[in-house]
Amino acid sequence: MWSYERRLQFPVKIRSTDARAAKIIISQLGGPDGELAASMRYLNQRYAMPYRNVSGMLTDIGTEELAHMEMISAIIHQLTRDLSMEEIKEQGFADYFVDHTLGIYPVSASGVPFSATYFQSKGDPITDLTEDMAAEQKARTTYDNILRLVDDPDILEPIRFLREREIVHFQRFGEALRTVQENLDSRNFYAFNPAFDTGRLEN
Amino acid sequence: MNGTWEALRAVSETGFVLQELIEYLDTHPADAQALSAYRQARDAYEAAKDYYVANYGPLCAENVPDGEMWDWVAQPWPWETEV
Repeated sequence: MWSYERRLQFPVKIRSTDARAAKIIISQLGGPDGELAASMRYLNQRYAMPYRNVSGMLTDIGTEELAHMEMISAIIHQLTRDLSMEEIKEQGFADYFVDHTLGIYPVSASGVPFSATYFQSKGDPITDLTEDMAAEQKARTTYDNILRLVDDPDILEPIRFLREREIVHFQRFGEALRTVQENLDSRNFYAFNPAFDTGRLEN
Repeated sequence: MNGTWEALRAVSETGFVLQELIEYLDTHPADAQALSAYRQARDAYEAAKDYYVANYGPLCAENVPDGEMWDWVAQPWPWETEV
């Protein structure tokens, strides 16, 4: 169950529209290392996670990622609202506009629609948590690149906040991976899937 | 409008501290200092939310005040800003 709170996790108040910036930042909504992929990754990985504190963490971080998705969408919306036809054409927004007008649709910066192939749910805690750590770093690099491409302080503030969250979540997933490794069956020398093979080792 | 912004900022700030502590406690469930900080953060967050809801409107569809109109859809959504 989820409930909705009528606020953004961090405020987004952008005064000037900029379709070019919107087309770059939209990658963190529907791109390969974006917030939608992050949320779906963690929320889907929870069920096969045999450690209750780790599945709890996947729930809480997966939920926070939904709030990040809302922040990115708010940024795109505010960067593109009330664009004139001239601005749409001059700022390279015509190719997005023809399919979505000024609606929010999850695509990467190069226009590729969101795909579930951007994340895995492998059913192996070590594999999944290693992917999660990499995912946080990939998102952090994307935010670094956005910070290199954009200079409006109204955009920079929420993007810097989101970048910092990637670093904190990388830390949390690292701790979770250590928990999993410390709890491995001592006979499981080669770290076979502790969510699937554990019972089989006892036979 | 300024009061709304300040009150919402207090909800965001206290809510952020709480969120950070929740995620930390998931991997450090026996950290007494963090548990005590969690209790403080939760109380601060509840107080900030209560103040906002009493003065500026509902934050959740479950706390819409009694009245003639359905206030939940009467106010701007979080992605809307007055420019």
